[in-house]
Amino acid sequence: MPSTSSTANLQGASSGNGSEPLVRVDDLTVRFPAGRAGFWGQEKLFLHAVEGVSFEIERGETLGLVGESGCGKSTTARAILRRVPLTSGRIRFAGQDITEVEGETLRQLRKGMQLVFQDPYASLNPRLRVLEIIAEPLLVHGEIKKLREAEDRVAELLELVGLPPEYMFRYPHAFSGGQRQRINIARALSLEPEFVVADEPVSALDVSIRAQVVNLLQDIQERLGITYLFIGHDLSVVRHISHRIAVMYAGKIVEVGTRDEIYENPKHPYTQALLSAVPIPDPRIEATRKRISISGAFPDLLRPPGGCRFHTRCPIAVERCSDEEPPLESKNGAHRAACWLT
Amino acid sequence: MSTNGTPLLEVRSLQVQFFTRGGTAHAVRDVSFSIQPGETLGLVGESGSGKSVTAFSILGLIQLPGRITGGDVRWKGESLLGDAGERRLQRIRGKELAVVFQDPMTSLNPLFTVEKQIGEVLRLHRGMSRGEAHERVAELLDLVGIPSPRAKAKAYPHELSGGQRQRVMIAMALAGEPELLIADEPTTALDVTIQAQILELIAELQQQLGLAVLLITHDLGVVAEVCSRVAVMYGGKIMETGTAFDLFERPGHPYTKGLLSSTPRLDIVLPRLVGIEGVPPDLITPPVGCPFEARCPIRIDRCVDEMPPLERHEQGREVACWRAFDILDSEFAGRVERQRL
Amino acid sequence: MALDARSARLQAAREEELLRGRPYAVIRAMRSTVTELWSDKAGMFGVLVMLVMFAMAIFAPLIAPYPPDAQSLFDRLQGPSWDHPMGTDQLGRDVLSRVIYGSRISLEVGLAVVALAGTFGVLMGLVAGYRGGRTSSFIMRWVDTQVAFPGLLLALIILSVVHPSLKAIIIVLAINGWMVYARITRGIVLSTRERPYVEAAELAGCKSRRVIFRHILPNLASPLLTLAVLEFARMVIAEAALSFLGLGTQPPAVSWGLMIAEGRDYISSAWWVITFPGIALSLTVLGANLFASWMRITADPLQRERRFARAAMDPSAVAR
Repeated sequence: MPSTSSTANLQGASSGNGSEPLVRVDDLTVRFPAGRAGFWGQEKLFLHAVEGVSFEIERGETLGLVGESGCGKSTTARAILRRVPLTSGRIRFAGQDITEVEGETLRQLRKGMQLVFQDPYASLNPRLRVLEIIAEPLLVHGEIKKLREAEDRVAELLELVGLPPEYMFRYPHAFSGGQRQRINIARALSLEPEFVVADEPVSALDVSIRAQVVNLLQDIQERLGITYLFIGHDLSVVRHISHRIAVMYAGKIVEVGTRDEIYENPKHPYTQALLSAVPIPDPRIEATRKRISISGAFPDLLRPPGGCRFHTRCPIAVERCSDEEPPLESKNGAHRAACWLT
Repeated sequence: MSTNGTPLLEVRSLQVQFFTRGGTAHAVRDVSFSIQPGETLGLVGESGSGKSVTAFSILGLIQLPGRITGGDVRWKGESLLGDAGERRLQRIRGKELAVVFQDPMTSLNPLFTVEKQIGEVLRLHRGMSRGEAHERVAELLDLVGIPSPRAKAKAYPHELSGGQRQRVMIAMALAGEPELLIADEPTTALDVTIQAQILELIAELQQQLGLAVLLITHDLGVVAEVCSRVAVMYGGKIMETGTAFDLFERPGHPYTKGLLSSTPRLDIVLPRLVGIEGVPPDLITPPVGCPFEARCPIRIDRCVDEMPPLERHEQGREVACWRAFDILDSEFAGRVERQRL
Repeated sequence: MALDARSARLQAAREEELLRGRPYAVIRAMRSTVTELWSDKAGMFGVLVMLVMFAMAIFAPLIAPYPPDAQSLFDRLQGPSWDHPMGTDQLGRDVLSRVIYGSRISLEVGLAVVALAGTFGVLMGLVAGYRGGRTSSFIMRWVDTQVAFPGLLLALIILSVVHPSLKAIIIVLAINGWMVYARITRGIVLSTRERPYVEAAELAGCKSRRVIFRHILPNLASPLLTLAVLEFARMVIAEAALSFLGLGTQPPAVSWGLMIAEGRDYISSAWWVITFPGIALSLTVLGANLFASWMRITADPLQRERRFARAAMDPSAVAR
């Protein structure tokens, strides 16, 4: 097989490339134009989807990005993949600043970063056979000229994701949700990317199938040393696959730390509330559990509140919280949280 | 199953089929359960189990290509099927029998204010006048925890958040002063913090109003929070029923055990997630024997040929399995290595 | 060894899915189309009518009993008889033959306009939908402007200035008819663009052209086909209207619209002169509409299942 990526070899453990993280996001801000307001339409409205987000992802690790709908996690991921225009901030991938690349350079860049979609039903073109779907990236980047040449590679990929290679000749409608996600994963891996964004890859699957797919992703990471950005809202699932976790709320990162730090010793009130809201499948525990309830509604991202964005719903907010926005600072080594009070 | 008096809702040997070009899908096969007044029953299952179809059948919402082809649905002892049954259903639906659906975005009419929509129920089923309805709407919105209820009553659905819309749905369901609330995946489309609030609300209302609830969900965590009794469905049939405490602690059916094992928990960290290998059965040619047989770690020959009946074990516990209560903790964990298609 | 075994399995699977494919797939597609038609009698009627009309147009010289312009002043205004099943007109010409030959122009105009307007409109819609931004705004405003003009009036004005030849009619109608294709195409492109599999293709590095033709275009096939059939019917009527008003087909050519115009004066005395071309016109349009309606349902999986279930309903099942 012709060697594909021009960057690091993927076989075995992640190759040390010094201490530079694979993905580095600096002060990322994404604002979407959202029409106009005011009597004469003079005020331009913007949706503050992501504001001043910074984090890093080391090679071979999985960063779990959690938050509820509207928190900006999907937008952040797509900004990294250069699918969404940035308002400001910088993104570094494999040591290169990719914030402004376009055209052919961007296309080439796409070989190194891929996305696994959430919806197993809408993410596969129903008119193409599995072979064509998985081989398309190879065709488009000139790695193969005809479909026939791709069969071996596709067979390998299907086996990697646990599907019989013969399935490559079928159409997507012949497969179940879990199988389609496997095909999705196989497609994402076809160009041997170093970085894969998994955007809620198991949310649309049945519980008994989720484990299969999550375990598959973990296995692949062990074998190929791939770096993941795992986006999810199911905290129980995210816990299993992530090394480190970043919690987002209303476009900002409110807490980041290792998996154990976040789950066992959450510092930010939102993280604490989030964790206490997750139902545990055990009626005895549920009956005695104390819930931290947060009232109120999600802030309006067209006109975000001043100060800490969570202060309108925070159970321990004080005056300072509505005036000054707390920075994301270290509370315990690399465990950082954005709160004045913890 | 409790034995005091006539159950509020009784489903007997329900059969629902879908006539499609690809064949006839047997979505619900011989399903029976009942709900007593004031009780919360959780109907649990994954996609294809038939749980939503069962709920829709009770409500008379099955449309072509689907059809109820057998069995009965009874409300306080009287059938809801057939012509007479349909008239009865029209009377109680929205009133004594209320429903909350999954997607709050599309369940509310975007053209009318909250007040108008809830008011419609009040005027239709409770015969209230405009003024009376006005008052009651504010009361209901307050009951479901919506802040500034009078102001919010005048709002349109798109002005409310997802959680608020779901509360409005619940308010609308409560407007008829129902005895049974059917909630079809009421929190699946909501964020987890909002889900917690809604579930708390349902539990509170259930206590305050003595409401019976049929909660349909795939999430065992939700069931653990709200339901007193549980029925587990798979492949169009009921596999097990029992009280929540009992079922979670000591599942009798291998599928229940598998489902519990594959639900990741915040409080228990495993090195690897455990699932159930295989896929759900094809509903067009459903297996003759137990539908779970192909994926069951403790199956025996009998399971392939004969469908085990839903048998009563101890008080309140029913299991449809030839080897009920045989399943051990290790059975599913041991299959972790062979997680193939 | 393992690799050989796998290759063998692949080969077998490929044959089963792909190669038994071609003729088999075509036959299967045809058979399922016939089943679909059978379950919707109205649709079937529509298709048959259209087929009959087209056959009439194609085989006109073989089936018309008389030349369409053969005059016989001796036989003028004869009622329907064995010799002339549809009677004769004011110049003694056989109405049946004229109806048969008339189908040629009517259908030709319909097809040509759909082809011309459709191609242009779809292209505009594709560009507007995929490019978005200024390009889209420009094209859509152009569409809006043209739509604002009263179509028939514009056609009449142009045709009264330019000599109304067949080519002119087709061009004028096409100018008036491309907008609807553009709007529908753009709408579908916009909604398809958002689908995850299109995003996946772009993320994989596909260039725009490939994305449009491979991933977006196939979704357009069904709706556009339905639209084309309906537009075809509309164009047939448009041509008839123009001919009726004297600015369409000119004698000695024959079209249904022209026949209706010529027979206007004889409604009470010789009803057959105007009635038969009228029936032909109505049937064609009805057939096209029924066909389009059938296609719309067939293209939508849910509707198609409902139709199937209705037909297959077992009356002894429990009623609900």
